[in-house]
Amino acid sequence: MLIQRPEKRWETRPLECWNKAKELRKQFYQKESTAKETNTFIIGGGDSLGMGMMVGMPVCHFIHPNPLAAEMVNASDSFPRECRAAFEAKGYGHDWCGYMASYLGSMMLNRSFRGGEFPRRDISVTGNDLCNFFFKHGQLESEYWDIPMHHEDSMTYYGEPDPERANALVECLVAQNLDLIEFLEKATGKKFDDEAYVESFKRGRRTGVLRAEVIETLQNIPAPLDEKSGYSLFTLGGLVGSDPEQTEKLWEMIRDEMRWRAENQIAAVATERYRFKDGFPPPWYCLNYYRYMEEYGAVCVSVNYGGTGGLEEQPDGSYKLPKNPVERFENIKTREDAVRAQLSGWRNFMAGGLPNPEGNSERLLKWIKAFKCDGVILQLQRNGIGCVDKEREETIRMVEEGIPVMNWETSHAGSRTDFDENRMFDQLDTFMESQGLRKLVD
Amino acid sequence: MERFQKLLEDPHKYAKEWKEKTGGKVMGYFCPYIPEELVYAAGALPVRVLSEPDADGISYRYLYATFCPKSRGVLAQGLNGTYSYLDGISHAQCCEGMSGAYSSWRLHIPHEHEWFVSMPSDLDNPWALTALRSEMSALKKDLEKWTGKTITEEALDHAIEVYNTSRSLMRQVYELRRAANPKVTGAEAFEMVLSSQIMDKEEHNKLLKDAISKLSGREKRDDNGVRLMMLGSDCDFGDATLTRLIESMGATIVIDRLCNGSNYFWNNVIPQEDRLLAITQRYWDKPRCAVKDETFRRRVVDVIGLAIDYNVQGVIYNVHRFCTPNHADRPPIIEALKKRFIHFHDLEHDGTFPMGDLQSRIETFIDVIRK
Repeated sequence: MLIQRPEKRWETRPLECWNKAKELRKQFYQKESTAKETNTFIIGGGDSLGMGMMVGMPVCHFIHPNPLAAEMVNASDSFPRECRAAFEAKGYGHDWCGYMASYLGSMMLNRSFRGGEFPRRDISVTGNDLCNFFFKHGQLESEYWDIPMHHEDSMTYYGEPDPERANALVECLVAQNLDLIEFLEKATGKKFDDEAYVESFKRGRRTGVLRAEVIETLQNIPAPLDEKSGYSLFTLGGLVGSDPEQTEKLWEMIRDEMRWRAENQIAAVATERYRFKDGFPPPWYCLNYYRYMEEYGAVCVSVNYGGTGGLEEQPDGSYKLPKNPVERFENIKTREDAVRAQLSGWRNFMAGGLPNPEGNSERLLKWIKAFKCDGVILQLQRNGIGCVDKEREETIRMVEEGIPVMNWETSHAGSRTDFDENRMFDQLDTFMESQGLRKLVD
Repeated sequence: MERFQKLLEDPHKYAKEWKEKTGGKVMGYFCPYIPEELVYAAGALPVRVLSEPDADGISYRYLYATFCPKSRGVLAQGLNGTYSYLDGISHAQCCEGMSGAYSSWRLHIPHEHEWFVSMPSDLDNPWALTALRSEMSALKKDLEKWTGKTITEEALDHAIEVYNTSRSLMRQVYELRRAANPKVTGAEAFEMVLSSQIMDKEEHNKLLKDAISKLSGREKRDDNGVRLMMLGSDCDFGDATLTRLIESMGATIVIDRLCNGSNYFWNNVIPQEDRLLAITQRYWDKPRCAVKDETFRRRVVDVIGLAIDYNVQGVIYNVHRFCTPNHADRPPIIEALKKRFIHFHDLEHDGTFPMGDLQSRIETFIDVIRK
């Protein structure tokens, strides 16, 4: 069987929400470049804040390094290489996380990949997210600009789920978040708008539910959205804190479009015949990896990184939205209520024993079933172990369960320098052939 | 001095014999942020899980190649059965590498009991202190359940006293190293501190007292050569090997700031009514390692203070490949050392210690300082 032809061809259409999403992202980054004229404080980091907090402090604009670096390495091969060289020339190791090396290198070169200078940060707000690079990047950023820094420690534990322990650690986080608000008030000299924050928090929750509804549709065959496109959307309203009202409207639009596509069997990939799950973000300089897989009729329908966005497992193994997901947050009235509600996910994460690698693997197995995946591709990121600390264990577990799994090595957000695209495509060929699949020929 | 060296020649013998003799439980720990006093007060023996290079690569199945050699070496020790005498394992949140080793150990190496302490990373954060205090309560409860023994205030007081004595004695040894032409070598001091992590402190204290009395009678050496400081990643047995190598080439390691060296014993528990808070505070106040220095660069200040205090001429930054936190701290530490005209050598390696290569690098470094 040297040649395979598609047995079935689904109808496919371009995404209608695509341009609107691009526009929102553009507006967000424009705010960064015009910050000086608009007297806006640019905050480096802020990954744990949620977009609600930005509305409470409209004079601040939060820029998270990850999506910025992802765009940077996707836009150019040479610029991230220069950034990395600048960063390493300061004595930092080649094994630094690619996001951080690209972001901090761009800062050290004082050049933005969009042209012009790298916009000065006024405040640094970091959370460690259990990743060694995140906390260290805040130190570098605040020292480089000589700016105030706020640091958040997201403590967790392995072992038996223990609500009492989880509670104590969450209370610590609540206190830190409340302190952050006061810190921002002091650093900017502006008062935090509690009412706007609470309202925006609720809006954020509604947006989260919309996002979950979109993820829910990916369980459909054919998948109405592939993860490559999903990556461009899912940070909106999260790590990319685009205008909250517009973001909610966008997600409504995406949700409606995906539901319509699912009902009408409009596929992301016309030749879908193999569904796979991805691990962490792919090498941003090689997103054509997804397009390459499409040549086999393979579509990525789920990623660890995006999770299931608040969906709950059902007795039949599928994932659906919990009952009344939005109403749960309607009684929130104060700043503290909102902060606590924001951290409820973290509490559930710990209380459910999910920091344990076995918890992670079991969850992955459930997702594979729910999203009807045929195989799993787990990247091993060469730079930074925060994104790979559980990947080998997950691989072992998949193998035990007889699920086809492929590991491949990459520096996901670094420069293309260390990446051998042909070798990777060869590996994908081998993996797909092991699944009995060949490239489709019309 | 030979007794400490002998203990390290077979680092598992003591714990195995202790177990046989007392019938007690042995708790292995991966990171020195584990409050050993609590384990000791519960009647168990805390033993540091020491790393040896994973020459056969048996850890690669579980830990990707970008995990540091130390974490892979620790896991390899578990996988090859070297630590099969451990009844329990414990870890305190530190770097991702060691947390990975702990995670895989939990899953693949049989053990009776396990405990993970959520050690904060930002030790300038007052709320985290409260959270850590609650973690101590959780650990105490867990240990009581595991050992079937109530941890009384008396037991805690005794444990604190034993551990504080050990720390004070080690400080005395390190004080001797501050002098010109110190009586004790870096290798000897390192063997003392490393051996203290694998045996009952009460017994080790007796050995230390005896050694200190003998050291005070020892003649000063004529010329100990260049005075060096060692920083960076823990390499356990490798650190001892490296120290001996350096000291054979016309230099003395007069001070270190390693997690298995001075950082392990530097500060005491300051007794207070709430024993658990006193213990919490001790671990909170330890000199910062690279992982726990997230905000104000206290580590840089600490290192420079020590270098001045011990009249250090050069610093060897002994760092593993993929030791993220230590790599991240390197540039600011180099900068601070340069400002004080203290020489610096970046000794990055993969944990296997190729002696010929290391020898020529260190020799050159020592020559540069001499000139």
